[in-house]
Amino acid sequence: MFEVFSWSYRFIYTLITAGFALSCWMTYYKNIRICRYVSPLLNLVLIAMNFALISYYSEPLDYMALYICGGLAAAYMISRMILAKLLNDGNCLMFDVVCNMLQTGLAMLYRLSPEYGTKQAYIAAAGILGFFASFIFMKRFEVKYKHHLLLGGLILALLLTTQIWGIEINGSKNWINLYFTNIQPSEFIKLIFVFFTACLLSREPSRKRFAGIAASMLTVTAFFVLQRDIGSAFLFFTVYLVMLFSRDVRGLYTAASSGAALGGAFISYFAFSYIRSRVLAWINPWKYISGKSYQITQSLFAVATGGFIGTGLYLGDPKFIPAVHTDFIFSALCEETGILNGISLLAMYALLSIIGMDISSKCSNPIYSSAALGLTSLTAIQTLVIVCGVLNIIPITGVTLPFVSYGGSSLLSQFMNVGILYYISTDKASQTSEAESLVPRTASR
Amino acid sequence: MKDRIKIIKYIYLSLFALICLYLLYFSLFESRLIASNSYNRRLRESEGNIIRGSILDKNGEILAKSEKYKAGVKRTYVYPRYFSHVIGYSSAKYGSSGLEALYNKELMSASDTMEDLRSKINDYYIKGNNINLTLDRSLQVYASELLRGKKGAVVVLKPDTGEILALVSKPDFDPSGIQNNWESLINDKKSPLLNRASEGLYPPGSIFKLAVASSILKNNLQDIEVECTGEVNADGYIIKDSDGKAHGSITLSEALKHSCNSYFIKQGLKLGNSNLYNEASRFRLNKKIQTDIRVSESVFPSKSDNRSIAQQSIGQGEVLMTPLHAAMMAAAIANDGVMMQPYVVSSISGSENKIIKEFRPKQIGRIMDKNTAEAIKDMMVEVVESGTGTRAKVSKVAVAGKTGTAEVSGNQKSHAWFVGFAPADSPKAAIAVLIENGGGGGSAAAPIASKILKKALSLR
Repeated sequence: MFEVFSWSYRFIYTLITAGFALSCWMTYYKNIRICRYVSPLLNLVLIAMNFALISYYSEPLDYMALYICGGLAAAYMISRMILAKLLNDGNCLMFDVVCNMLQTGLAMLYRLSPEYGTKQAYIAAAGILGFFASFIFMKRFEVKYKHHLLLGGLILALLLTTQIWGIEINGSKNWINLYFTNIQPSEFIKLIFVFFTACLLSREPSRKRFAGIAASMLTVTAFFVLQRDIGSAFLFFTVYLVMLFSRDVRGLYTAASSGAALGGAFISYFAFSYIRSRVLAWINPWKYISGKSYQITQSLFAVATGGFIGTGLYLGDPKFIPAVHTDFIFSALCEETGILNGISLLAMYALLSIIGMDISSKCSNPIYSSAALGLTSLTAIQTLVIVCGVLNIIPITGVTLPFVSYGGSSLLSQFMNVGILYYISTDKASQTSEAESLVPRTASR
Repeated sequence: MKDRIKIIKYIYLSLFALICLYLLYFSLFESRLIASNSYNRRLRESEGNIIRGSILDKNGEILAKSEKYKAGVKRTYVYPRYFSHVIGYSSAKYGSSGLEALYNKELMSASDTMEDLRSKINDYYIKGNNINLTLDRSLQVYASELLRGKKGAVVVLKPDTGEILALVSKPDFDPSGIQNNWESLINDKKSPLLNRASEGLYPPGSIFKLAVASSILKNNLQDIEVECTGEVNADGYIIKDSDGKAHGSITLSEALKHSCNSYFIKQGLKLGNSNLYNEASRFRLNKKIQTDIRVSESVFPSKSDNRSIAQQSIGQGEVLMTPLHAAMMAAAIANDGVMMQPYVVSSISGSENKIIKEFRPKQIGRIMDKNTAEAIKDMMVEVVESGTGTRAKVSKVAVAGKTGTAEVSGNQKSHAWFVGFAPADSPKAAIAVLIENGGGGGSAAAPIASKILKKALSLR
């Protein structure tokens, strides 16, 4: 009987997610009033239906799934109300989108492994707290140009700590054991790094300043390559390039950095065998099907099997893919809920990116504007990298799918990311002292 | 700064849009072949309430079927070894291959959605769709028996439609015993799992002279007399005629009849790389052949040095073809110069044998005009009448054919080839026979072709 429900639910699920995506885009473009109520409503419907189906799967009913369902719905509604109070315009669109991604991920994780699903639910609670904490922290503490030394020192300290005391999990030595849990410092370095770069870029770029930025950038990337965390190395460098590009009027510094990056990539291809094997697995996945391309081909099988509306929850075999709950969760989603749902999800990431870009261009404080650009780029590029990776459009790099993949540090850092973005979107961020006066070039008129 | 942010915004937006488009493209055009890869462990015997459908030959004879037992569902292959490569295997542990893999989705789904839903609710079993083939069971078994103990392949096509009547690859394997014999099968040096008929690439040798002959005719060089002294020296590389025999001063029809190497090399050098390469491309070498089974791409490298041109003019050097492609070449000549797309699945039928999807013959394209085809046909009749292929004769029927003896590197015996069709005036069957390291085409392949053609012509 379960099979009947899951089999028929695919159709409804595809329709509702598409409806949700549409409603969010309508809110963004036309600001239709009714959509502001439709989106959260559809979100709640999705949470309820997904977890009801998951709970029904086991006999007797899985109460944990129902608790998560209730907890998530309540947390979502309460946070939404608080957020609406904190914001002048009460526009919670970004939060709706993020919570939709969160519930998609939670449902899939719980289906893959109730243990991971439950853990992720607790992390999500911490994430929402982190979201508000970072919003309030930003309100109290203004980032100024002079802070760049502090931020740079912090990054270096965290990198060194990881290098010295780091432990290796899944082939990357980028974890720190905190006794009660393992954390990934790189997830938090991301946020600090964005502000550090934003500070440096807020002043008129000169050759000397550029040399400083480039040197710190090189240091950070080198650390990641040494820790075999190629995903982070790529992510940091591209985010840095995007931020530089937005400030670099003549484009010379961007061109120089891109050249250096290409050169670096070329050298590391020959210097590190783990990079080489990923590139080979990407170029000809079918040749190394039982070896180094096992993971990527299993991912392609999953997406190919799913078709437009998927096999239905629990009716596919996403567990054949190694690391399905972290890097490859998008393939699992495509297999069981279909590529149409995958497309709706991508539409949500696209929406998140353009909202972030709007926040960046509206903000008149150069540091915050750059930071918003960097924070948004972090999410956007990370999504592009992992989705293209699991579809074998580019070589696979181990990064998480924001808000969906399993992972404590990454989920917490992503919620903080959005919390900071929300703060930058408020008028207060634009009225801070660094705004306008220092950099006439960026003044509005 | 603001316009830069706008640029970045649109870059992100278009990248996301491109991925969405790629996802659509992927599931429309690429997913089928990928999902049917034998490493995909998702292909199964039965899923939920659906029992895998049957596979039937052109006369409706069951070749593979699944039945429900107390212990589960069991798949039976009625003629286990005879269809091992075409139908393939389906195993929970080792995945599946052949049509079992490519048509897994059809075999595992029911045509009637409502019936499917009803069976799920009431918990009873229904059968998946059946697949009807163009293969003829009796011809396939007969051809298979003739190749017993040998390594090689036989392909029989219907020239005017492209229907594959028989597709044999030897050595074969027992698809129902795949679980128990897996290790020995994959480690066997004779590679029994390889479908030689459509995926094996072999030097075509003299059967490729048919394509060169077509180019000679198109360039109006057929009446030029060429002196054959028994060997040719192409830039220091000496190629001999078989047994070093000199044929004297001959034209195209004589040269083809006796498969004269010197003639074709000299004419090939005259035609040059571009003519040869273009003709090979017209015959669809170096190109993907659209069909419903897995095929390898035949190869004709573009080389401009005389030594390579000389070798490639007689189907040696780096020229490679699949037996299926060789049969298509003969079939195109039989079909007045039009090559048909080969296919093995004629239709898919649902419950109560209702046809859900029918596959119709499709043209690949015209390879040569009708007159050229007629001219080559007449020469091929001569080959069997009084040339190298006399052992392919069938009583009371005019057979057209061409032998091939493809040299292989090392001290191994040559590959024996025969391609042809019959009856010559109104072709009903085209054939390619390949015997790996079988020796001479006229002695090893032609007699087998004769028997199979006779059997094929006796079918309804």
